[in-house]
Amino acid sequence: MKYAELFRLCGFEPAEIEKESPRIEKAFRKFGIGDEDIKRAEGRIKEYYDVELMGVRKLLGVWMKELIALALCREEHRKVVYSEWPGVQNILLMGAMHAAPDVYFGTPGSQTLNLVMGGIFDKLRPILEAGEETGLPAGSAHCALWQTHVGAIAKGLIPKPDLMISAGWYCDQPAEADQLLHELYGIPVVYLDGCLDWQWGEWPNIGTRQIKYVAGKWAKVKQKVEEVIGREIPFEAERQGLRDNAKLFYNFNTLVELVGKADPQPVSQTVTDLVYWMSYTPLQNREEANEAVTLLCKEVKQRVDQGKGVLPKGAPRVYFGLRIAVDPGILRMVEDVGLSMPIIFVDWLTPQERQKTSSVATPEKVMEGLFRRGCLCSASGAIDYFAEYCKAWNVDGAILCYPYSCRPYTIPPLMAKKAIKERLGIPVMVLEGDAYDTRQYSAGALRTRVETFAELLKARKAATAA
Amino acid sequence: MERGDVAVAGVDVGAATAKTVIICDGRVLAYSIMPTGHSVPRTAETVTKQALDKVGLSLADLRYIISTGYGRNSVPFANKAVTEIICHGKGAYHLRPAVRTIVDIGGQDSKVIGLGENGNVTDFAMNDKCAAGTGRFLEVMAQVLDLSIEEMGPVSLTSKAPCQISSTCTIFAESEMVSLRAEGRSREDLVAGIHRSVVSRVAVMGRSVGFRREVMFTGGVAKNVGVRKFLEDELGMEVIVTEEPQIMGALGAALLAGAELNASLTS
Repeated sequence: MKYAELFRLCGFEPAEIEKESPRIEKAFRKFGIGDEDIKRAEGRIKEYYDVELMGVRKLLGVWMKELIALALCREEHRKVVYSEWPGVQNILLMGAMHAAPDVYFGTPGSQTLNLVMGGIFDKLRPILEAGEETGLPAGSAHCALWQTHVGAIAKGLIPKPDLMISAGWYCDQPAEADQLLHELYGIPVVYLDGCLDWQWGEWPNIGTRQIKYVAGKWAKVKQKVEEVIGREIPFEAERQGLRDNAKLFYNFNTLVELVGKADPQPVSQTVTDLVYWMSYTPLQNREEANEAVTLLCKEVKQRVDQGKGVLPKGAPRVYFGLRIAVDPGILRMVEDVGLSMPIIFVDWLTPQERQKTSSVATPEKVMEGLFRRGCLCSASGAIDYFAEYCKAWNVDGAILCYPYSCRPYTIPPLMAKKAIKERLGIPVMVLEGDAYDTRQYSAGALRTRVETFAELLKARKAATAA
Repeated sequence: MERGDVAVAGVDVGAATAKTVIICDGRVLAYSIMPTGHSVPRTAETVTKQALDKVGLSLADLRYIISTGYGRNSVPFANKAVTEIICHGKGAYHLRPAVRTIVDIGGQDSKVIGLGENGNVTDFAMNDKCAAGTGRFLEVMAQVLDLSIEEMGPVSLTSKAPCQISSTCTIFAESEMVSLRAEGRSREDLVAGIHRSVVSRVAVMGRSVGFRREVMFTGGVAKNVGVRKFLEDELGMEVIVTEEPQIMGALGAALLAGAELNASLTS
């Protein structure tokens, strides 16, 4: 296998590649990654990521290491615990990692496989098909994230874990998929349940009922994790995990602000996306990730100071919401047609909401902080939140993805389009796609929409300037 | 054309047909339409040559060419590619400046386009990956009913009780059609039901854009008098169809080509 160039692009030094080669080869064999896939990955990295910046290379390297660690987790660890998106429970796992370094905690489907096998290698299809064959059939509105989760275990690409933590506080798919895996393979599951009965218009008022319920379940989850790993998770370890996450999040915040406030846009948003997912992942190489983000911030700041950018100064600014996580090409497409994206996340706190968030890290405070993001509560919360977002980031327009198989996110986009148009008077385009499955759309058809929207915004901006 | 006149062209390569319009000073000199076939570059060249032959010009006489449609990036002799939504807006506004909404139903997709007072696109909606509500849907149904696509419109106008076609999927609608035929429903009622189903899909899709007067109907399907009638019934307003609704995208592309050329000459 010829993977030296690929790992060089991912910021590895030659000595590190040599040292890691037995693990790399073992992992690649496990995932069926061959020379053709490696070539494709090299091409995609050069096309979609700004590898001129060493920080970007290092971030890609962190994700490649996550893939290798995932492939070898059973042989390198005493126990294996999985948890997926939505990732609030992963913050708890970061504490558990301190208490039990010999246990593997990971988010295989929602982060590692989607970003690396999907985004970098474009090799998710066989995993998705395995998920479809294993009980989440095509055309039945099953979320592709969970098809990947089930497919990877069913295909034996990743080991069956000793415990799965399933998030039931946001949508029904995690519990459905994990129950299926429990029935098929006897894998134990613990559920982080929540109240899914938010009332229309309730957000931004967040009831203590919703917060207390999830926080209470958090204690139950922690107890189960302790039982399975055979180790107590002391309060100090839990606090350390929260601090670790806060550190990465703080660095990430610096990056988001740097990119979002600069004109011209200094770096492609494909890069911030790489960091976003890290903030919800119990990373095996968290310190390295932090160093990579810090380095990237320095490099981006340098570009900002020099007035350098990946788009022309004054390009129309759009909010890109509900992006396609497994296809960095879509974000690049938006930038290619001349649209600047100051922000691409659906759950980034607006400045107003951030002020209300406490720095004290308890499960209650973590949940309250999450629920301040309206999109994590209800459709009406998401609609209001998207509108607030557009206002906070002072955008000229918005692109909202309509992800076919996502229960919570298929409801808001069309209503949000109307709300944003009425409240802010800016154009909004709804773009059909799927967050985790590239088979659900044609990039060519999306391009026509995106190009037209760019023309529309440019004409509007020119008319306003005149 | 007189000495000193400058010709420009728009080439619209759609999923089903390719169209070229040649204009001079905003006036249409010639146009041509042909099936797209399997090779976009070759078809683009042929359809453009056909249009050029009508006015005794050659490719070298065209000072600026804009391509559009799904094959827009595969027209080797074009100076620039622009999306068909923008081009439809330009073409429609040129012919009827009072147009504020365009309903375009082509071979593979359908669109509802909102226009501002200056003819710029203000909003749009486009069908997703489903073929329901497109020309292809009508072609499949025509085959099932053993009719030519041209016959469908007039046949549907004679219907007294259009069928209710509940399926929104081309394949399922085909089986539904077979069942309804077996139940003894007349061909007129079936065709009328199909047309109403296409219109209903487009009307739902376009609701987020809104249907502001005047509404122009473009694309190959606009030639179908049945679909036009059901569209007018659904929207409750008159729908304008020009003499050749299929060339609207190519016309808009040609007009943009003229504007680009003028801008480059001025600068």
